[in-house]
Amino acid sequence: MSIGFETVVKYLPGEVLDVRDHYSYLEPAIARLSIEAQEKLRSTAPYQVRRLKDVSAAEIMALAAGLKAVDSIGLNPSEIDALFVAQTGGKQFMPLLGSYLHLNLGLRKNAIVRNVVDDNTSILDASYVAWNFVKSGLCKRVLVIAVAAQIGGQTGFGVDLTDPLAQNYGDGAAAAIVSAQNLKCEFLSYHFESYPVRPRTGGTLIANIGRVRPLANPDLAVKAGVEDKPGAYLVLDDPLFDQVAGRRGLISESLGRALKKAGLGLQDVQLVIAPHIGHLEPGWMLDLQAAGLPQEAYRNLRSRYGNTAAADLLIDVAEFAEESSIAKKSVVALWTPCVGVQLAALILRWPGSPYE
Amino acid sequence: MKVGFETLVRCVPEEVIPKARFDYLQPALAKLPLRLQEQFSIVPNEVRKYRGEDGDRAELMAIATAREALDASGLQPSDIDYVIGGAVSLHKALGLGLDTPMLNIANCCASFVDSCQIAWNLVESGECRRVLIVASAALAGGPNGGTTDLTDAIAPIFGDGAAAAIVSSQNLKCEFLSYYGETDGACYRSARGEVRPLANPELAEAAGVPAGPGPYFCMDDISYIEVASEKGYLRNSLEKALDKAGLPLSALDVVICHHLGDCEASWTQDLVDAGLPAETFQNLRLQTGNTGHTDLPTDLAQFVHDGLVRPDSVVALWVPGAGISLGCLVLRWLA
Repeated sequence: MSIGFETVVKYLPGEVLDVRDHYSYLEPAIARLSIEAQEKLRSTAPYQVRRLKDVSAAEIMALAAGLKAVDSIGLNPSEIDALFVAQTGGKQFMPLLGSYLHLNLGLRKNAIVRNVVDDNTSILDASYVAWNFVKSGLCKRVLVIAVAAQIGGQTGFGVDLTDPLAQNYGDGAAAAIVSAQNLKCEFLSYHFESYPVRPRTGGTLIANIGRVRPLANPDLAVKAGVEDKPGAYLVLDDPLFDQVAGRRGLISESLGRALKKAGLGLQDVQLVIAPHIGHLEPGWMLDLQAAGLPQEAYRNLRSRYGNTAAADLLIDVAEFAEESSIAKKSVVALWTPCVGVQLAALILRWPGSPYE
Repeated sequence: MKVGFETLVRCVPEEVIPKARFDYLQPALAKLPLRLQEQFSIVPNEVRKYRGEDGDRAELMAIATAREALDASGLQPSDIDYVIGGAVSLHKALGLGLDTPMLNIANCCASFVDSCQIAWNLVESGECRRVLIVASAALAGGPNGGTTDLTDAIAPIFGDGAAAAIVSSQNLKCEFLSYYGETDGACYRSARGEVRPLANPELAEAAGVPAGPGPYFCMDDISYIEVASEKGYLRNSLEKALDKAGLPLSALDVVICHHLGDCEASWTQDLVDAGLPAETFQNLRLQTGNTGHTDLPTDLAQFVHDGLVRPDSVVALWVPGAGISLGCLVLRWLA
């Protein structure tokens, strides 16, 4: 039985921020960094990002993406058997968005609802479980939603807008329906690897939040338009993530193992979509080229949307599908590391079914 | 194919915190509306707190309990195909294979039961032979702990706990009969966690915690409790769960419910109204407090040890997690 995405859609807020212009208030903070750090930051910032300035940004975007997915194939919400939600940011760390979306999407009372909290890999991990739910006959259709509410929510989670790193991040959401019908693409394999080098808050009550800390540059709070208050803001002060996720060979070797599960090799891949982590991209691209892939095999929408964390991969797939820029019968690799470090890959064939 | 727990172990944290330790909260309790005063006065006799190595208590308990599960089953890390629950450090500490997947789900106190449903599906479908589920909660508050604000009048109800289970189709201690879940998002903002200041900063010193904001649990809206304790709520969902197993409600020998003291009277009455003896309702709330999603597996492990759950007992693990995410797993104990 072929299983894959029956539909995949994105929802991006309407407000577009020109990164260089909007974040010019960060210049004093950037100037305090080392020359090397300044160069790295400036060379990897996206051109623009999207923002939804609302305390309920996570709820609004996730719901919009979910509704769009259901509408896109003319489904009644009662035809959704399960919902998986991956979120970055939001106004509360428990309960997460699952029950809110369940109510507002109008799903059946007994539809399965799971919040997945594995950082950037969440959406791939969720897709794997959804794949198995469909394969086993437990579900006909599983809705997966990913949302990043990082810069517009101002809820004490997400990105510290006085931190120079803020300019890398954006808001956005995407959703897909996993089923065995009318497939847009077919799942070929799922692969996971773990390179534990530092703790990542896990388990089920704390979700993905860091320690509470003050703003990085309280003197910039007014210009950033935020309250000067502590929050569980993103912290990237540990070089271990970069060392592991940016290790030469990591992307090609792990993708090779993911593809092997599908009976394929790296040379069979036409498109690799990786997360929007600008400073690691040059290394990943070199790695893939060294493994024999053409430069154009690596594509993503980082420069347009910034880092949308849990939603990166689905947003890209949705937009590439919309613009029909994925060649028929392409093998597509969705690959992402997450803090910890762990990584996941989902290999798809696009379009992969005789229905296409 | 029969699927169930091949192993189930619980972690009993060393330190005992009697309820008298929370007497400093009386001024905080007195400030609350009467309804909340009544609710937050239903406290356990004692709770437990992990006192081991320095570090994140939830992570340390998870590692210790998962190791115990492997030891108890005589299995090697290489026998585990998939892990649900636990931080990345668990992967390293157990020596799992590079490509052994880990999944974390956050369905509040229903997370363990909901994880069992995923594990059951993975084993039954042949995708995995063995799934390790780890549940760990550091809710006794204080540094290196979880979400409990020790200046909040609700603090005495929470404690630390952990459990681990291996779900497989081999050497089963119990067989899963059915899973039933329901979601009710109307209470999404009721029992919640958010970054906020201490509820009563003037009590920080007495509580032994630093002043300042943190990621804390709060419940200033009791709609969650009102829904969870509605007449018929437990009974109706149990009936649906048992129906999926082809059993009547009368087949139940033990119902283990989440440790919510203010709902227990209603739940027990629900069972009595359904014709079940009151003692069908069992849990260890008074000894451990609310340990989040670890309540149900730790109680089950203890009841098996104590002989309350015997071979052929039909047991329901039932929990309305915040959200509300209601999960119910019906199993038959075999060993």
